[in-house]
Amino acid sequence: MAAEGASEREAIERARQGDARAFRRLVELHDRALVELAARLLGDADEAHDVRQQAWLRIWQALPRFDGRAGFRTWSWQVVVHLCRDRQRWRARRGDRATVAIEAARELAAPDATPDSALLAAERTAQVRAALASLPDDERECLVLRHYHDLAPAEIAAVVGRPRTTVQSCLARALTKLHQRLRPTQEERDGLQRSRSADRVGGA
Amino acid sequence: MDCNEAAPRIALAALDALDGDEAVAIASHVATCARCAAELRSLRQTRGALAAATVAAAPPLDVDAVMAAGAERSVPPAAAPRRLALRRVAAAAAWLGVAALSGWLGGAARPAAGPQGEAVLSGPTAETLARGLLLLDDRLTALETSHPRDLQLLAQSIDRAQEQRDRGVTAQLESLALETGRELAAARRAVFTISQQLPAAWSAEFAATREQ
Repeated sequence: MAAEGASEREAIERARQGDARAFRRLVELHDRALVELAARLLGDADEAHDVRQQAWLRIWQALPRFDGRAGFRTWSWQVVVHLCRDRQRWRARRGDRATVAIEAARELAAPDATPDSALLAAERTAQVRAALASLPDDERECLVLRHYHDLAPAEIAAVVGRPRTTVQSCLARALTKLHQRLRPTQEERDGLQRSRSADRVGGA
Repeated sequence: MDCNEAAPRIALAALDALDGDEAVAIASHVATCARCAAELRSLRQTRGALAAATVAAAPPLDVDAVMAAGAERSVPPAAAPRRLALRRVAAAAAWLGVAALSGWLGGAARPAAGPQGEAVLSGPTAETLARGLLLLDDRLTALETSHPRDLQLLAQSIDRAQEQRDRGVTAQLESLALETGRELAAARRAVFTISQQLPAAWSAEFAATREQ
């Protein structure tokens, strides 16, 4: 599943031998995807930044042993997924898992102010983030890799280390759960927009 | 394909995660079944809502720190001989005071004029810079001496933590290694930046004088 172009393959080979410029090239090509993946898996920008640094450190150290069989992209994402799993286990032990995101969503959803469109958008963002955070780790991994990074089920299977059929059932469960969790809020939002336009008509 | 066969695959269809054959089968079922078509539309809407979960732009990665933290592969400091020359210039500048140094070196060593004609570096500024460079250079030398030892110790501890499958400790130790790398990279950058601020004539002429 090595999908690299010739120049990237060359950069990988040179970086394997310790070439700093080639390593910088790999960072340029992949860093954004890695940090976004971490941010969506963890739901926390600061932690995502830590994970991304840790991931590049591991990649730099392990590059000489990288055999290229999995493809650099798949391998780098495996590193991030594993680091995020570790963090989530750590968080789960400390018992603060995802509570921040859920609290934020609840707060924003509280109907105490007249929401303008920016607030509605922020509310929606918080709701979707909270819904993603509420998924089990394996389902969130599969959904994030499929939707935000456009990976086919076979490549997701390689990244998360599970059979493709398992990936497919994870994907189906994840979307169904999100559907159930986000639907009422969609209706609320429609209702809210209707009442606001009614207000405008009435006030004119 | 009937509704019972289609049901478990509709979510996958909404995610475009079906193989060619199955995707075709679902498409032809949905074309003739209003209920499944509505379900697919509705799930696609939910998928569309995922766009709201945007991610803020991350600060740029400190690649130097990452490479410095990767102990056994860290890049050798490139400009060591140049640093030595600069260090001698800076030491002299700090000790003599800049006015004396300028006088000694003559007109050629006068700081360059800025766009408005004022001196880019006045005497005291240059002296402060020279002293700063000395301090930083001491720090960098100390770091470059202690750094490989620290990182070797850290690497051993990380190996042990990984053997014991203690991921929390592993992560903490890796953060520590990165912190050490960041410190070293920042010190290297600062020495380089300050050395760039010193009038070029200083280093060239003074180094030449000292070589004689």
